[in-house]
Formats: sequence, C-alpha cells, structure tokens
Amino acid sequence: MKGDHLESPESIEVPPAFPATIAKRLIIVDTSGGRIVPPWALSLLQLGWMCRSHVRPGIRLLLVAILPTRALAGPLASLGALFAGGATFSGAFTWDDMRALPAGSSVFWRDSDSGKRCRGEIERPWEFAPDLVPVTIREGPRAQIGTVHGVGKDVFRRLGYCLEFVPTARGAAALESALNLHLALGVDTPRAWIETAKVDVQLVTNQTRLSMETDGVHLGLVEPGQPVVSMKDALCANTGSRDAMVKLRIHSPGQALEDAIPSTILEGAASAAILEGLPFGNSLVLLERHEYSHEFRDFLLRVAAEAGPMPDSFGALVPASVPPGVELAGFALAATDE
Amino acid sequence: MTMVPSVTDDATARYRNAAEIQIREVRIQTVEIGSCLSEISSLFRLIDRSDPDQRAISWKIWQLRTWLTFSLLPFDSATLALERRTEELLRDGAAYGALDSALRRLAEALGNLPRHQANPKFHWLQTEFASGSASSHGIQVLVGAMALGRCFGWPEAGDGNIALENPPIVVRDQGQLDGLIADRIILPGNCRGLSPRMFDAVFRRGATAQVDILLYPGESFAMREALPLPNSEIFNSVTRPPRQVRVVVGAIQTTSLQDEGLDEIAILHGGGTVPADGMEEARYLLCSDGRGMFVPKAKSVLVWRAPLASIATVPVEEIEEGDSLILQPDDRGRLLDIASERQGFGEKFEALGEWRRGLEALLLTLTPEEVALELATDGAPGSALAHSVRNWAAGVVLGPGSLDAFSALVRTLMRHGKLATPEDFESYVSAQWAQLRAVRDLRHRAGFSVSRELQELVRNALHEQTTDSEGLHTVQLGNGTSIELLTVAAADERSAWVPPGSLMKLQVMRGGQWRG
Repeated sequence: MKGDHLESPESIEVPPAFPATIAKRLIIVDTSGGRIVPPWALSLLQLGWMCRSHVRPGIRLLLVAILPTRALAGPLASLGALFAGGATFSGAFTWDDMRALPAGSSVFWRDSDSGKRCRGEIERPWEFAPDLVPVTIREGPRAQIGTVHGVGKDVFRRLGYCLEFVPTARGAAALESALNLHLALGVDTPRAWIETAKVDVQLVTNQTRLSMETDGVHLGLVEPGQPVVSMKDALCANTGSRDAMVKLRIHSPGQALEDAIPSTILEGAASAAILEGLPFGNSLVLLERHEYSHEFRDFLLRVAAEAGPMPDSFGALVPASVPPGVELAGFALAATDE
Repeated sequence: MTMVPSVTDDATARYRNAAEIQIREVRIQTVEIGSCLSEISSLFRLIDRSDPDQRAISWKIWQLRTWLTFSLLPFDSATLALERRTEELLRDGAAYGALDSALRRLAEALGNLPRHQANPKFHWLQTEFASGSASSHGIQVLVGAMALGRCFGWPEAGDGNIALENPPIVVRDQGQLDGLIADRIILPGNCRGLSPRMFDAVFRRGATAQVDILLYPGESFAMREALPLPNSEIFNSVTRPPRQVRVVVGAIQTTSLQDEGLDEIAILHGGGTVPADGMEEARYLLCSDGRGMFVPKAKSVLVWRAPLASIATVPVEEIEEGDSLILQPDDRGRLLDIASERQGFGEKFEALGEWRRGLEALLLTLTPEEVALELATDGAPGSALAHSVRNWAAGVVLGPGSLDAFSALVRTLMRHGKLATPEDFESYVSAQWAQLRAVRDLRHRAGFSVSRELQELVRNALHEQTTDSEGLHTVQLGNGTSIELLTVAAADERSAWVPPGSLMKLQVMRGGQWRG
C-alpha cells in the first residue's frame, strides 16, 4: 500500500550531480582530530551517490569497486547514497494521501502529550465529518487504545503522520542531525525526507566491524564552531528495532534482503556472493583486492555478456578521477522483474 | 608512547601506499650461493617430468632451493640440513646418468658455501638494523612465511625475537599483516612462493610504501598480474594503476641465471579444476603441519583468530592464512560447524510452513509472475515480487520481509483456497508474522550463542594448551571436552571439484614431502 502513495523517484530524468561543496566543506573527525574529507573517502561518497541517484525504470546498475582497504568504505558509500536519496527525494506522505488510504491501513505518529509512538488503523470515512479521517488507536498510550479519533489536516501536520513507525526520540534526533548535515553540505534535501518512511539504501556488511569502524567517527564542517554529527546518526540506520523509521537498513550477509529498496551496497566477499540472487535496484559491491576471486570475476564476465551499455546520463555522475589503486567496473542490466 | 592511528588515518595511509610503492631489489652478492642456484637451474632443465621418480627429485631440489634462498639461518645450521638433503639427492639421482653428474656438481657447490658465519641475507639485515641506522626507524616488518605459508628460519635472540638490534616484526602468516601499516616490509627472497593473499597483502593493500626484496644472484623478482575486472569503458579514464618505483640496490651482476624451471608455486591437491557431475565445489586448505583438506565452498566454519583472540564463523571463501581451524579430536578432520547447532532452527522453520505449503500449492496452478501481480494488487511493495515469490516458496529466504507483503501473500492464498480463512484476519496475520520474525531472530541468536559459548571456553582454555611439534594445539575446554586448533598455512584461491567422499579429510598434501 505504501507504494500506491509514495511517488517513485523513477520519474527523475536527470540525476543530480554530486555537490562540489561536499569536497570543500566536509570534515571527518575521529580520535586523531579532524581533516577535510580525503580523496579516497570522497570517492566512496561519490560511488554511493552514483548507485542511489541513477534510478531508471527497466535498468538496474551494478557497480564494483576494488579498494586497497574497506575501512569505512561501507559507511561512506552509504552516506553518499543517503545524500543522493535526500537530493532526489519526492513523494512525501501528504494529507491527500492520508485521506485516500483504504480502511484497515496502518498509520503511525507520535502522541503529543506522552511522546509515545503510536499506531492506528484507518476506519471507513465518517459521512457526518468528511474532513476528518477516523483512526482507531492500536498502539500508544494505554488509555487511548481502541478509541477512535477524527484526524483533521492540522493534526495530521502537527503530529507528522506517516506510513511506518515513527523514529524513537533518539532516532528523531539523529534524523534531524542528518538533515542538518545534508543542508550544510549543499545537498538539497527537503525536510519531508526525514518525515517520510522510505529506505534509500541497504548495506550488507559485517555488523560488528561496521560498529567498530564507525565508533567515534564524526562528520562536521570546515567552518569552526559548527556542530559535528556522529557517523552513526548521519547514517540514519536501524539500531536494533525494525519498527522504526530509518533511511539505511543494515543486514548481515546471511540475512534475507528486502526488495523495493532502490540501492544496495554489499561489502566483502561474503556479501558479494549473494549478488547473483539480487534482481532489484542498483547495487554497489565493495571489495578488497584479495576478496576479488576468480569465481566472482567469472560471475562478472557473465554479467558483462548480458549487460547493455551504461546510460549516457550515468556518465555525468562519474567523477574525474579516483585514487590510484582503486579499480571500478559498471554494468547496466535489465530489471527483469519490473 | 605510540599513538594508535585512527581508522581514517589508517585508511588514508593505505590508499597513499597503494597509490605508489617503492620496490627495492637488494642484490646480495655471494658467489658461492650463485653457483648453487646456477647448478639447480641446470638440474631443472635436465629433469624428465614425465618420470614420477624424477619429479620427486625435482620436488626435493625445489625444497632445497627454497631453504637456501629463503632461510636466514647460517648454511651450517642443523635446521637447513644441507648435508642430509645433499646425500638424499645423490642417492636418488644415482640411477640417472646426466642427472647424477649435475647433482654431484651441485653437491660440490653446496660444499663451498661459507660455514661458521652469518647467512649473507641475515648479515645485510644486521647492518640495516644496527643501532643508529636511519633505515631501522619506524615500523619494520620481515615476512617469514615465504612459501605456502612456511617459514624457513632465522637466528633468534633469547627472548624469541629475531636476533637483530631494533628487531622488525616478523610476520608468520598473512593475517598478521592485516592490521599493520609498516614503513617498510622486507622479503628475504623472491616472491614466487608467496601465497596470493600474502602477495596482495604486501603489494596491493597499502600495507607499506616500501618493499625490500633480498635476492641472491640467480633470484629474480617479478610483479604478479592482478586479476583484472572486466573492462568498463565508462571508468577507463577515471582509474589509474598504482605507480611502482623499482630500485636496485647493491652491485648489479650480469648473469644469465634466471629462475628457470620454477613455475609459480601451486598448491598440489589433485582436485579437479572444472565442474563435473557428482563432484562438489571445494576449497583446498593447506595446514601448517603439511596436511590439507578440501572444504565445501558453500560452508561456513568456525575458526579461531589468535591475533584478535576471537572465534568467527567464516565462509570458507574467506578463510585466511593464520586462521586456526577448530577440529573435533574424536573425529579428526571434521570441522566443527554451527550448522548442526542450528537443527532446532530447522524444526521451527518447518513449523511455520503453513503459508509456505499453501504457496507451493498455488504455484502448481499459477506462475510466480501471476502470483506477484496479485500480491502487488493486494498492496505488497517491491519491484521484484516474482523473484521473491520463488524464493519464499523454495525456502531460500525465510519469508516476506515486510508485514505488507506478508499480509498480501496470506490474502492471496486465502482467496485461492490455499489457506483457511480465519475469523479474524488481522489477528491471524499478526500471529503468523510474529512467528516468522521469531524464527528470524532465532536464526541469528543460534549462531551467536554457540559462537559466544565456544569463544569463552576457548579463551579460558588457551592458557593451558599443549602444543605438539607441528603446531597443532589441543585445547581442553572447561566443559570436559577438547578441541584441536590447526593453523591454515595456505588456502588455494581457486575452486576444486572433488568427490563428496574426499571432503573434510585431513591428508598429507600430494607429494607428501612438504615438511622437508
């Protein structure tokens, strides 16, 4: 049902260029201090941007990068994909969408008094009050469960109704921080991006390694005195509960992937092994040199034999250069299941 | 106090090193060993490789050569056992005329090697690492595992370190290099015997900006070609190969000697190189005691990673040199894997199959594409629903990833009479969805808890381990059982196709003489 109401970014004709301001303004801060985003990190952000921003009906892209090290590769590429997700966002959940939901649909919001996260179900429209959408509260403050409320346009706007569990208070702060980072870096992300349940990217990686790598890493701006955002907040990722609004879903290589997510980033040989059964969305595979096996090359050769030419519009996204030692390949495949 | 570099600094250094690497060929001029290697080259040209006995002699000569070129021990060291090797070769070659005389010339050349003094390559290291030498500053690494994960010895000080002032870190397996960024990596010989992973770790993963390769006359270094990605025109102008700066240090001696007859060292295991009926795809793991085994490539196995002091469930594809396989001692050769520990998961997985059986039944009359169309109409999200439907039915994945998709699936199955329609649809879907999620959780927890429990037991037990002469560690666990840890010396990068009966059997590597 979500798909009926969220406009797909497939309608975007020209993918936006990677904002040049990121290279000039973004700093990475960790235990040894802050430094302007190094060229290798910028390349990873750009790869993620390429993977997420170039969405075309009937085509899915497979990008492969061999890197000297995968340190921070997954998080940075994911961040680039999130920037692109924000920049190409369209299709906020509107009041008209709410009114058009069929009876039985679930909607989510945060209770203004208690701050609790609530879920309700749409009821049949009230003939006596056509401007209100009746919602039965199923989860939320105990005293309200089972009660039916008429939701008007003002309440809809004030409480930020959406189609997926609203973030926790912590999650909401993280999304807010992420949005501020996007805007400060020149990424034209609308506020509706953080108010709308729509996952931009899924990252398949070793979660322990990811946690260790990103622990203590922050992102900030070159201008002194600007607040820094932790990498974890900037990634807007799931941190345990699946019932929370996120922009990035993190999976271990053994976990089932979700479809309908426009971009997938796969880190390491174990992650790349599942690529063959991944028929949807754009994919970016990040490998270290020793992880690039003869078997994976054979797979890529089969892919290359079936692939069509990369779309011209993709060329505009390709950066002028990447650091020496980084190897790249790209394939345009038919999205057979669309 | 040394500052631990941050993950960003570490990555920056690796990219910088990978972009430009200086390779210094350090020529160690020793006439006597040059003569030995020259005789060995002549011998390789004489050997008839179609004769199994001569092939065995060839293997022994190759071993002798690796000891001569890779060891840093004095030539009269008992570990090198040059006299015993020479005698064996003379005995084995006596039946072959031309070979016999060439072997005698080799024996004579070996007899002329300097005795009672430092190994020439070690002598160079002594000078290099002498106190006050600028070149000994920073993090210095010496690669010990020069051929198929095997170390060839170096003089040791009382503390067990290599007997050098300001001793470098001696790397015995590729795993040790993973966390290191060195100012210089020194290879005590050419790289023909380096495992592919070790080669990549030294030259392609930014571990250092400078590699010193110590070469006798007759040894040569050649950079291996990296396995290329399929060409992508769109990126051709974007990517640049790393820059290599080659420098030769020491007097250059014009020599006709080459590493003739020495192919890149391959792990010999007898597995097929192409798929065949009835054969299973496997990876060959050579262990530090000279034995090896085929492990099914699709499996994950538990390994002990000593540098990290952790147990990891590692896909066979990702097993690395230095990983210790965890073996069950009562059934030597059988890897402890967590699949059996997940049997409980399998039962629960089957139990939630009511809708799965319904879907299987539905697919007898409808195609996945038709089912997908109905699911989409019922509100299931996704652009690849037909593919998902196939996966759900086949059990490739546990089930739909979202409640919307699951709800649509149940509704579709009910509409076709493949599931009984309950009184309360929502409650039924909620209960089934909760069950599906519980199984998902269980699958993750099962692997985690087994791993955690074993890790704890192994950690506790490693303090009291016993070690036999071949690096096999027997570990008594606190729960009354024991396990054995066997270190992987080299892992073949390529797939092998072997009969199912050959899997998981520890056997001496084909040729059998590796331990020398």
